[in-house]
Amino acid sequence: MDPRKYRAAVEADYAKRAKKTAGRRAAPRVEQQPGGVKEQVATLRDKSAKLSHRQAAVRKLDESNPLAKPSAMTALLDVLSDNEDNDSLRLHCLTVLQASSFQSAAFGRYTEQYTEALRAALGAKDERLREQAMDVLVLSNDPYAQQLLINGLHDPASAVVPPDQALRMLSYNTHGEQYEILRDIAASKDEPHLRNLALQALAVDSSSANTFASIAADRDDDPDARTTSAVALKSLAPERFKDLAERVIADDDDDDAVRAAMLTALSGTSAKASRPLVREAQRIVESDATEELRAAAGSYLQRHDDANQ
Amino acid sequence: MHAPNDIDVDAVVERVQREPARRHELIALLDENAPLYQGRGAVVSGWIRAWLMAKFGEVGLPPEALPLVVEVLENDLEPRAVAAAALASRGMVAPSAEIVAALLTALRNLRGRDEPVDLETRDITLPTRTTTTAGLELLAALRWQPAADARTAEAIEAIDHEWPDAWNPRVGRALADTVLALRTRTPATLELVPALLSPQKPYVHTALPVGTANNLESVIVEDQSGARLPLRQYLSRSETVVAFFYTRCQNPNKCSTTITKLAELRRELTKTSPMTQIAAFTYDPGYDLPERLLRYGADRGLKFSDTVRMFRTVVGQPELQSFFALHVGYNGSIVNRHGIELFLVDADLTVSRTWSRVRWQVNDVVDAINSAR
Repeated sequence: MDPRKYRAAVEADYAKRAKKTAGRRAAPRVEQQPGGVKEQVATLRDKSAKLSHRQAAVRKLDESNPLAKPSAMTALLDVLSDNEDNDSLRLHCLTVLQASSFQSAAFGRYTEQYTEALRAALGAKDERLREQAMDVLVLSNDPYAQQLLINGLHDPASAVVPPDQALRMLSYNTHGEQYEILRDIAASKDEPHLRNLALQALAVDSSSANTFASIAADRDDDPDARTTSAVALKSLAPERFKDLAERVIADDDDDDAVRAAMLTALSGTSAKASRPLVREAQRIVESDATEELRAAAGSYLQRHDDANQ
Repeated sequence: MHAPNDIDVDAVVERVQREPARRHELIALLDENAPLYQGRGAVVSGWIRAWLMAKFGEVGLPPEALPLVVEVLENDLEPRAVAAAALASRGMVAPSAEIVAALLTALRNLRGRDEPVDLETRDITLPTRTTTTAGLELLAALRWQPAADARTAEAIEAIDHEWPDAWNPRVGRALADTVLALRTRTPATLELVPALLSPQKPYVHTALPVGTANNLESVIVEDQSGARLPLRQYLSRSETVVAFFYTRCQNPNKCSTTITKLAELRRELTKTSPMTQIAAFTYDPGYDLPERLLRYGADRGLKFSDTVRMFRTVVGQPELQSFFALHVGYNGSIVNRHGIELFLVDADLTVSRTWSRVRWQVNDVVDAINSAR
């Protein structure tokens, strides 16, 4: 038999039975509202009520465990979904819903509506609400939200959140789609702050080790980008980082902040100190290098004083 | 966003929809290492794979594709993938206790995770037309599956009672309706199944050699202690259970479980087959450095020894992948999707047994090793 015909027959059979059972399921889930909740829900839903009263209603619902009251949860979700409603009130609803979502078993029945409401909130006028909604969605690996972030980086005019926030959120998911755009941003030196965020997000990508080694070694590059790259290289290729760091630390003409960062990173490893590096650190401590670099050298010596003796 | 292969994929799907007898063509597109997933992230590749898998619900599910569907139902936690597998299972017009069990496992795994899903579009950037959820699809598949019966109804009821608030009202109602429908399922419903195709027996255990020893000639590996050696040198010492994993896997049902079970397997083999070696290879050799391997194994109870090791390839990852025909895809250096796979490799480097896309059981592996003697 054709699967489609078979499915149609079984579903027709099911539909006939389902009619008979309609309403049976709802019975045990009739809500038991304690006094006041009904009024708070009505106030929250009433767009003609004063904003302060509606905010107070959200506070009271929050205090009364809204998860136990379906009408309260539905009202909070409806307000969050409504792009015509007040954004600060919607943000308040989102905060309450987010707190409720930590009770994952009980919240499960609202997950579907919550996702829809969050997606709707991405169209809010208020940037804080958009950011908060996006943050929650991206944390749950929502594909729609992740795609919006990437689109926004390609086309800032359509971005839901600012590019620095987008980069921060994209880094939540190491299995995401973002690597191509991250590499593009990391290759451009026009916006050092964004570049640095992109480098941080790329730190999980082992195929970027060459990029990190090249930036960290380049004396003409931005010190922040070099420091970020050095730390990333240490995570992805510790031996390679060690060789590079020893060269940079020994170079008095290099940037002292970068040298200090590399010394500090080497201090944090469990590997035994190398004697040449110990000698270098001793030399730096007694030199007229910046205080930051001398302090890093001192810490290194303290940490590895076994090799020092 | 469109890779060059997307148009070809659309063409295959249209062809299969026109001529369902060609549905086998979809199977190759579902392999994790298919070109259409290369260079895509986990979300987009998962999206496309689910869209493809759902087509089996329409064109019929060939027995060869059943392990792909069961693997998702048993192990995946992503609602869209689960919904697609549930829909695909409805393409098989035959009673299958294996599918019923997998659907129930998926329903358990889904508690608190159900989401609206859209299986209509391949392109993630298009607006979604959500009409269903993974929970609704699982229940529809259970109602549809001829092997589901009153015992299935009891199992669904137990899931519902254990997590009564885990479902949205729509799914809650469908749960109750499904329980009732299965409990009172009449012979007439079962009669709808044509003179029935014999119950399908999917390949849960195969013994396919997947590569030649020459493939491994140049492969150099590094173990969790940092020791490097030619892979052939290790494998040719004795028969070896070979597993694959990576430390950044986000699905606790896959890599973390694999290593935990390897630890259990090691305990069993110590008693019954102490010469058998264990080798767990990472899919992610660029990131899984020795320290990470050591920590990951130790945290899951794996006791390392000369014959129990975790490895990353230093040279020859493509050769290793090709030898075992691994079900793994990459976005650059990042794994975007992988199957569950375990192999028994003899000392002459032939693969004598494969457990692919199944939750392998420690006892089965021990029995296979002992029966090979």
